[in-house]
Amino acid sequence: MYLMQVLISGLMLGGIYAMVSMGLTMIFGVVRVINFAHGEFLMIAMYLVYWLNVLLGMDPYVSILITVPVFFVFGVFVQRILIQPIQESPATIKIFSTLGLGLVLSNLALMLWDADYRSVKVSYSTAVINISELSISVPRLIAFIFALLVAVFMYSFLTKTDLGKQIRAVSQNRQAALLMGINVRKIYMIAFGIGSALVGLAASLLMPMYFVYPSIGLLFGLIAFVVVVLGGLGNMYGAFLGGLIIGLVEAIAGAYIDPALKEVFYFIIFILILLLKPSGLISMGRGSEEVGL
Amino acid sequence: MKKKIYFLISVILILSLALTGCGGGGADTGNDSEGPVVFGAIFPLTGPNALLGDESLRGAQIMVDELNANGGLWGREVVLNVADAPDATAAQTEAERLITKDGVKIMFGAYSSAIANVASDVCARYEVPYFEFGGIGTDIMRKGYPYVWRTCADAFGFGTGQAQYVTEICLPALGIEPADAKVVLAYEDSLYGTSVSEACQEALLEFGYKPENIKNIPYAATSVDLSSVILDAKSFNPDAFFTVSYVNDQILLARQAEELNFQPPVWIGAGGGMSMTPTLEAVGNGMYGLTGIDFPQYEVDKEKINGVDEFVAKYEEKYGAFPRSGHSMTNYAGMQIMIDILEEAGSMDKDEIKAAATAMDKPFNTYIGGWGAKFDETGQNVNAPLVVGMWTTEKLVAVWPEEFAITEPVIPIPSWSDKRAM
Repeated sequence: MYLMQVLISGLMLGGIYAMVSMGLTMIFGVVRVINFAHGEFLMIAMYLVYWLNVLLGMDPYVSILITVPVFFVFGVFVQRILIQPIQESPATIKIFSTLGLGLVLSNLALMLWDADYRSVKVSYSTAVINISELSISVPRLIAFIFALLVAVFMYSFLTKTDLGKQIRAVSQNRQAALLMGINVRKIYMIAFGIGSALVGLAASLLMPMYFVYPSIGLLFGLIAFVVVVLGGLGNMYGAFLGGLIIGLVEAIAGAYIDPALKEVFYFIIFILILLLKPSGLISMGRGSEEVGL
Repeated sequence: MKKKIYFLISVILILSLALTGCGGGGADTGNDSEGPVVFGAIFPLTGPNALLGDESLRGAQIMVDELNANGGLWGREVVLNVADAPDATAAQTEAERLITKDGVKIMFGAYSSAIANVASDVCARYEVPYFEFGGIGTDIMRKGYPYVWRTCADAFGFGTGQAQYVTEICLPALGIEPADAKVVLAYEDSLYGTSVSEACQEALLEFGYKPENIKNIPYAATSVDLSSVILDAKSFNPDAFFTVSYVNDQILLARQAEELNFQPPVWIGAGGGMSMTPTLEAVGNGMYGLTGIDFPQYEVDKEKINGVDEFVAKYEEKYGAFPRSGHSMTNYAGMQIMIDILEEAGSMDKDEIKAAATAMDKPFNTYIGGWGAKFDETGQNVNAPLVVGMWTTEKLVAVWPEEFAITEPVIPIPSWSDKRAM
């Protein structure tokens, strides 16, 4: 029973990690920019959910209707203003600019909203489904289901639709895609927009159980990188699978070895993946590990 | 291309500098017999510790304003030369700057133990007296510096206080002897968590708890999930759950304990996240009955304890809101004590200050919020008060020790479902 509870907790946590990582894998895999501001995007999105709740009384789940389009536009804007001018530059410049954007965003949040911890008050934040002695947190289950749906939806979008195929073409070989008449700049903006919109969605799903403060991005940002590298860059199923694996590893290591060491285990996995299979569990083909370089 | 890189780097650096607000303001120099008396103040006013660093400084500032309105120190005005130290590295340079460039002859700070540690090192090197008002790390006082004093309680006091409260108040209410009691100590694994819980564990063993009945669960405060801590604790089935946590992890512990239906009869924290209003806001009624040891807060027995309402009134007048935490009152008390010592010393001479501090013997409740002052040979104030508070659905109210208590603690803590129905 104890093992079952550990596994459930690990899976639910994995759903959260997957949800947070899918936006990053999109940007990482297609635009080939290592978005170091990913965690800060999430933080700003969480503030948006918070303020929609406080000022308009909007339920965090309803706020999906706002956060997703707002962050799509935000992503397009960032790509157009910040990334596009340096698209052809070496990776170091892109790293510096996204890192700088992250610093600006987190300090902006500190300036505007203080270092206070803010959370939304909803009746279901600690709601639980009990099956015999097992407990499953309702908001975590919802996040898990959303992560699964998004993975399926994004996969079919990328494989079935015209736009999706264009995005994949660009991510696999930019030059060839350009030669085939694909508007690469537009695809970049759309891909960055989608990646950012997924962050908006993640924020709406996280706010019922978490809380927001200016440096919360660091907590989730780092894990998202591990998940994305583990799953394979640009691969939605990879991100989903990677999230679940990291969640389970963390839960099992925490329960059976030592909670203080649980991070050590997923970083060991991270290093092993980099050494043995740098393109990730579900590879997107040769060269995809050299993202941004 | 190179040019572009340098340009970008410099833009980012400038932006981050501008936004974090580095660089201190202009400073008054000179502490001779003419002009104002300058105190160096070092606090984290930007960065992750900004909120409580600023709250701490406010308390000291209120006391200085009050002093100046009543004729100042030695008939001279007192001015604070404030330095912002968001982290230990900045504390090093800022403390050096205050001493070597601005020539301050006395310094206080710092809320964060990491910053206090560095600031006291620098002061010791230049033999400038240093007063710590809020940092509780035990190692600050263990270095044997002759001119460093701490007015507040330390991690050792927090840990032993937790153990004492549970042993003297909670176990009798539960009808359990210490030898039979099972306890879990869950703590964040930085210096703060480990030093408090080590002191707590030592005290528990002295009270007669059995080593095999004490379970330690350290964890990283940066975790986004603490279900493994809760599951581990739950499987041990403790009579009392001791935690040492920041806000982030305290909220997670409480929420995930409810999700996983972990229901310890006693839950006691130690400062940090347990005493903070944002924790109550995030967890809501689930906090009811949880207790934490900390510096005196505002909900204490005001018939017996000095000056609390007057302080709140002054704070509200100056800053337009209720104090954000007890840190301002703690620093107000610290400043009261430091000024008393300086009055007694009659000058900025370090040895006169040391003589005055060593001779000081003020019982509990001499100053605001129950503070007393009597320094041991390391410079630690042994008459610094600590209070256990219990969360109601609205606020943290004092339940122990008796002189501070307003109400009786609720033991055992009601079930999560009962609390949600409140």
